[in-house]
Amino acid sequence: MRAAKRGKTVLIYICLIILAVIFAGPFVAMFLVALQANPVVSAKDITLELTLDNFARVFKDSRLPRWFWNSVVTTVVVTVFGTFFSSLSAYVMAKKDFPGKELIFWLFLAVLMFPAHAWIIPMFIQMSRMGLVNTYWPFFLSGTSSAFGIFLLRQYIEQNVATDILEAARLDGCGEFRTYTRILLPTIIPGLVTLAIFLFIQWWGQFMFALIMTTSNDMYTLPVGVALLRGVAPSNLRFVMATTAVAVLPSILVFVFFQNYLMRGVAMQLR
Amino acid sequence: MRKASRVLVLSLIAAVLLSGSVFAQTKIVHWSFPMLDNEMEVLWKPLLEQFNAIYPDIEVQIEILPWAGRDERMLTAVVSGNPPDVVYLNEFFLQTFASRGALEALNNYIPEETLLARFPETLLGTGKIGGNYYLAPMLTGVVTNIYNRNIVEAAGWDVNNLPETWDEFLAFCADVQKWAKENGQAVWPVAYSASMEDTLNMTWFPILWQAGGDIVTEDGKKAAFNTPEGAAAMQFVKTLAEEGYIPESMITAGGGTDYFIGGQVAVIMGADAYVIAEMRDRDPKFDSYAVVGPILKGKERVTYTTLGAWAIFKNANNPEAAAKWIEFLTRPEINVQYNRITGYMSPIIGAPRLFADDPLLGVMEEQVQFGRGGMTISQERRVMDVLKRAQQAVMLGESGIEDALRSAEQEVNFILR
Repeated sequence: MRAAKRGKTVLIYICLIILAVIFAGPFVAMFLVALQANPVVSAKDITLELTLDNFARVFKDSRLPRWFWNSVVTTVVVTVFGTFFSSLSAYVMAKKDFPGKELIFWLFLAVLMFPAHAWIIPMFIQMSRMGLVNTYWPFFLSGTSSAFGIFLLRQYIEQNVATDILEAARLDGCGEFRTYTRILLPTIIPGLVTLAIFLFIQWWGQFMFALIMTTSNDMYTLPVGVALLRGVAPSNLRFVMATTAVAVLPSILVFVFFQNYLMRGVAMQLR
Repeated sequence: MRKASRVLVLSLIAAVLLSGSVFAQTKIVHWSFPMLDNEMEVLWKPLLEQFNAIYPDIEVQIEILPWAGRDERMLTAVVSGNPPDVVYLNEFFLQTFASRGALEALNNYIPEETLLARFPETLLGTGKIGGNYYLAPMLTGVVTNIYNRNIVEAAGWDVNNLPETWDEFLAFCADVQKWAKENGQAVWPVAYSASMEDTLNMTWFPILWQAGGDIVTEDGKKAAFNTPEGAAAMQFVKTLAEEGYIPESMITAGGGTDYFIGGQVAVIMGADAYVIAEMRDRDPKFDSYAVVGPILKGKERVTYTTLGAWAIFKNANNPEAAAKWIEFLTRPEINVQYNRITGYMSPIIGAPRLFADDPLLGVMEEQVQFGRGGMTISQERRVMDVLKRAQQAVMLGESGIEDALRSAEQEVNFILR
């Protein structure tokens, strides 16, 4: 019986190791190629002769610092304000009753059903007419209103915040906004962190939206800049991989440090 | 005194406003896609300086966009009615935009005689619809065959007398195969990719054209490859597979450069300047054994040429200024300057040779005369995918030539309906 249990555990570990190799393989390959001292065209060319020169060149020869800054500004603003506004809407959707509430919530959900290609052109026309193309505003306006965020936090609030506590706060004289800041927010911090991580990863890697809304080299975000460099030096795989490594590193770090929240977020959606 | 100062101030304001209107610049936006590192400084800045010396009143704003997602980016701009004035297009985008009425006819702004005097009619004709020219060719590149000198000579052939026709090519393959067998060499005669990843522009389409066939009818409304010529072209690649002239893995996985660099094939078909650059990068001795062979001739001697061109969008803010910019860019001396820097070949009639000192690119430059562009229909990629599957099925022996061409024809006609 014990042997059978041990065998099962070993089998699970073998499967997990194989999956880990499959999923981590591309990232390892990316960093390995980025560190190569000699030109690489195929896997055969990879050696253990390593250097940091490719990373140095990335920062020296390209507009990467500027693109990095654009990505930081857009992602941080979207993450902070997107989380804040989502929590406000989610609070109302979860704990307030008003006519048409369900309809409005379903309209929010309907937004999630449309692929980006369906709304990106109307969005571009809107931004273009407002003269906001090639600025940070399309990111701010689009990113800080997240239907997914409202859905996620509504689920979280419904499951974790008792209506009685909110009513007790009101009886004690708390106004609506004070109830929200003093009672609700501290209770839903894990949900807020989960949403913030999702928004961060989503907007840090956002390519198509950034590509459509910017045409100026100075306004490109990292994903667009990396795509630009890939076009300039497709045969210089080391340079391309070093740039890509710099671009994905923040997302990897966020994932590594906050993976528990991410798992919780996924579980929340499945409930 | 106060009156005098008022007059002075008003005069100054008037002068400033007047000078503003005198020197008001017409601004045009030009979308290009990355060609080289530090492109603004190396390529565009000198060109803009020369242009502004002639047209000081036109300001050209160059915007370099990534290749990735360019279809979506351009379509969004066109559909939203906010496109740039000038854009870089390849020939396969022509119908996508022309069919939406999104391009300006260049001959409305640049005299047709000027265009015809600058470019070969075959190349200019690639961008012609209904008597109007929409594309001003800027750069070109040719697809050719690269031979391994060592294997060619070992098989008893002369690098100065390489195969010119299909028959000679198949005879060459047989000789290489025989030599490899007799000498126990793991060498195949040809690297030819039928992988779904690789474009047919560099593989089967040139063979189809060499057979005298075509992919779609001239009006782009029907398949044109299910013909004796199409069957001959399919038979040619079937022979390569059936006789074991190509490594079997190449039918599904491609990877011709690996075989060529590894000294495992005598010739790589469908190589362009980019492939050469890649192999040079990988093997410093590449030039010592690589030789460019003739463009093969079936009924015709023809190959594929890439076409990079400028076009003006219909909703351009300043089409006249855009046309002046394009006219400037396609001046022979400017075009040569552009291609010398970007490393492409010039499509201009009588342009000086840019790669005369390069033993490989120099020969390819002379082969541009045998080139023609690919399909210019908006369904180009979908049609190509159908034919990729047909070719692969034939080469793998999963389908007969007749069946493969017939079912591909039905599918393509459905796509083009």
